[in-house]
Amino acid sequence: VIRTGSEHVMGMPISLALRGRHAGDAHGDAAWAAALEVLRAADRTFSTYRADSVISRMNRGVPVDTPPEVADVLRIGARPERSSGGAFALRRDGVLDPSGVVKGWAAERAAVALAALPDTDFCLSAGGDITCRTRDPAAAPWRIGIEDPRDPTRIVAVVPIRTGAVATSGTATAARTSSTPAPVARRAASRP
Amino acid sequence: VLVQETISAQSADIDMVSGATVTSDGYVQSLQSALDQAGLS
Repeated sequence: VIRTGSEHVMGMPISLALRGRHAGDAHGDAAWAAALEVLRAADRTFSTYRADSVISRMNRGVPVDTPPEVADVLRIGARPERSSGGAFALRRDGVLDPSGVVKGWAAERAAVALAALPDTDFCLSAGGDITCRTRDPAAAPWRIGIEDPRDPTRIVAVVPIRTGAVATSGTATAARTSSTPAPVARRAASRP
Repeated sequence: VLVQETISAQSADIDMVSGATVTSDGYVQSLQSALDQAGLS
């Protein structure tokens, strides 16, 4: 396993591990750069901390041509909004904040560049939303540690996963990126 | 499938960490940071 990089985008750490043919070479580095650019583009569009983002302009009531990515994210978020009985919401007090959807959505898109690397497995974390791929079904799985919400220096579980995604939610220090209120979040964190 | 008892990252041999404190603010003290440092240095 080669740890290809770690950067901060959207106020969260982005980490990548690769293994296989392009782990540690120029192709692997280029795919990492491409993945980061996807995340930076998502930040420019969706950040509620940037006055010039599409979301911020929509919240100010400025007429904007809604880009297809924004329509995409709002459509994805509408479903849990309906099915969670109000636990998840795209708006709080009328202010649009789809951050709870954007993270995983952006990680999935960023992973496209990584998935194009031949004979290479990846494990990408966007602030703890993790997506990974393993080419060989018989290969060892990636091992995802689930942080202890009471003590972030420890983990409470290990999720082995070859191809798929892992996400957790909680309120320990992530309140600013989470749209999920405490009761649901705590249950998710204690039973990953 | 899950290891249910609390375990240290070192003994668990993990590749990535998912959790509530994985924000840039909390990153410096995080296990993910420790993993990244170990792999990039």
